[in-house]
Amino acid sequence: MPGPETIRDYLDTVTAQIRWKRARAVAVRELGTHLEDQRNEFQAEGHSPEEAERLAVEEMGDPVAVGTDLDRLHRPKSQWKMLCLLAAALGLWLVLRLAERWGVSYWNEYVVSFGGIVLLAAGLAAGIYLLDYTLLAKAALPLAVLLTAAAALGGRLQFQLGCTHDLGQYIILLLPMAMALAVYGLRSRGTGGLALCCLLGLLPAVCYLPGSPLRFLWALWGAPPVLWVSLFGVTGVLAAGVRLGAFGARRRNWLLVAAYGAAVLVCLAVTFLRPGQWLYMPQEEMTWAQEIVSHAKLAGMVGLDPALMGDVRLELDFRRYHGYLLAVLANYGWLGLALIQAPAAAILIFGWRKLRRQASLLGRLLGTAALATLTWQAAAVLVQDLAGLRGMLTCFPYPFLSDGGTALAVDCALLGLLLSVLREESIARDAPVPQPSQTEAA
Amino acid sequence: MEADKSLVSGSMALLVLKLLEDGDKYGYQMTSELKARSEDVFHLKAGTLYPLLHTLEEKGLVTAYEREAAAGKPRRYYHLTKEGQAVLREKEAAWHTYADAVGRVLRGGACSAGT
Repeated sequence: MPGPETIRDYLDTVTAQIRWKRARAVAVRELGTHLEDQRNEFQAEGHSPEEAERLAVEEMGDPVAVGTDLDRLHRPKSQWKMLCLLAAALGLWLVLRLAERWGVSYWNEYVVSFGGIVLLAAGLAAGIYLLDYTLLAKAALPLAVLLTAAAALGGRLQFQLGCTHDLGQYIILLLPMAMALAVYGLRSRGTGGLALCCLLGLLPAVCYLPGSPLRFLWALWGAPPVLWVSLFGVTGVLAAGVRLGAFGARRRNWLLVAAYGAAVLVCLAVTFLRPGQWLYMPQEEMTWAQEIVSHAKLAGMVGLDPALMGDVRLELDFRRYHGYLLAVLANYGWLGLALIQAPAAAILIFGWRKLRRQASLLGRLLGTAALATLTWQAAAVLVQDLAGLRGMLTCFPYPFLSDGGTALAVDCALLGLLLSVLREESIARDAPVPQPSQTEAA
Repeated sequence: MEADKSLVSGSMALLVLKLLEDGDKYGYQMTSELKARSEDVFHLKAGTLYPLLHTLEEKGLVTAYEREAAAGKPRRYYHLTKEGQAVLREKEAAWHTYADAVGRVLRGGACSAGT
């Protein structure tokens, strides 16, 4: 059977061998430009256009063999290990929620409602995992601005709703993702692009600052989480962008990132050092936490004086939240504390390790944003609970260990995004960047 | 004269990594340069080159990025990573050892083994 004679036929034959539809255009794009270059060269040598195209196709090799090779190389990388860890985290969430309500008269109703929440959260993670995350690149900057504005206005929204809904608050957790999109949208714009990213990243922190000119946006519990997320999550994404060369290899870019971090620290100082406002140190709880940590056993209940402890076991109830991880440590010891964190910790460790192999800038930035957010959440809750710093570092629960469904849904969405990035590792391509000489000429 | 395919296939990764040693290149540049540098001995088919490049990329020996070339067409440039440089040095050393050994055998001469 004669082989294809035109570029179109050749590419169609190669494409037909590639099973993953999303990979087809990406895998054959290079072949197309190569064929055109080769055809142009043959034409320059004096061949007719038809003859040049036929010769170019001939030079390429067997399209079926090429397509089969490309098919083998461009398969979705299923993240079974991470999905199993997510299932373990959701299973743990369900068991804990039901266990703390064990014995109540309408326990069966909790089974249905909590089971529904777990299914919804798992569906959200799975849905985002299967979506093509590179679609975000098409409107990276508008999305970044929209998310930042939503986070800035989120507190106000919550305030309007009478602080009865957490939605406005949880948008704050998407700020690092907004920064990832901003960095991608402004990449290759040099230090000016980075400066714009820093200004955008600083906006929510300023909006939530007590006493700021934009105080009308301020909500009661909004300031510390915005500042901490800005300090760790957003700065982390900015640093990742600079390290990956998104703004060129200039040393002053690092200075700008440091300046951004310093600006957020100033906001933190203003927030916490306002007399009578935020500089409230919960001394009693800190002492209590110190006692538990210093007397905690490897396994089993804390070895404190029964007179001090009383007969009542430490409350293990999210609804009376005084440091859930501290209560776990007090009741079940260090092993219990390690076990309850195991799924989330494993997700974070594997996630960071896998992300290092990601070639696409967009993938690296979004993955960093998701992981930095979850890592900060985990670290902040752990430090806050074990030090007795009630509400000073975060109002968010430990990842995948929340009382309600909103936090769980946000965590699952972030994890779904990370898994989508890892799944598309072999086909993720960043949009071409104009050469510096062309930019200067323009 | 084109080289025997069986001789070339085992060393193709070495040649491609070597081409990237002195700067980032896109696929068509690589085939042209290989042809020129080998004085028309190596005719690397694009159908062989791209799967090989994608394999090297998956192994972390090269990275790729897209950039518009002078003609305005977006091109996918390949860049040799530090890991790729290390593998290139290993492969080069192995190749020289192999080529020297083959050369000694082909040249013939007295064998001192067993004497």
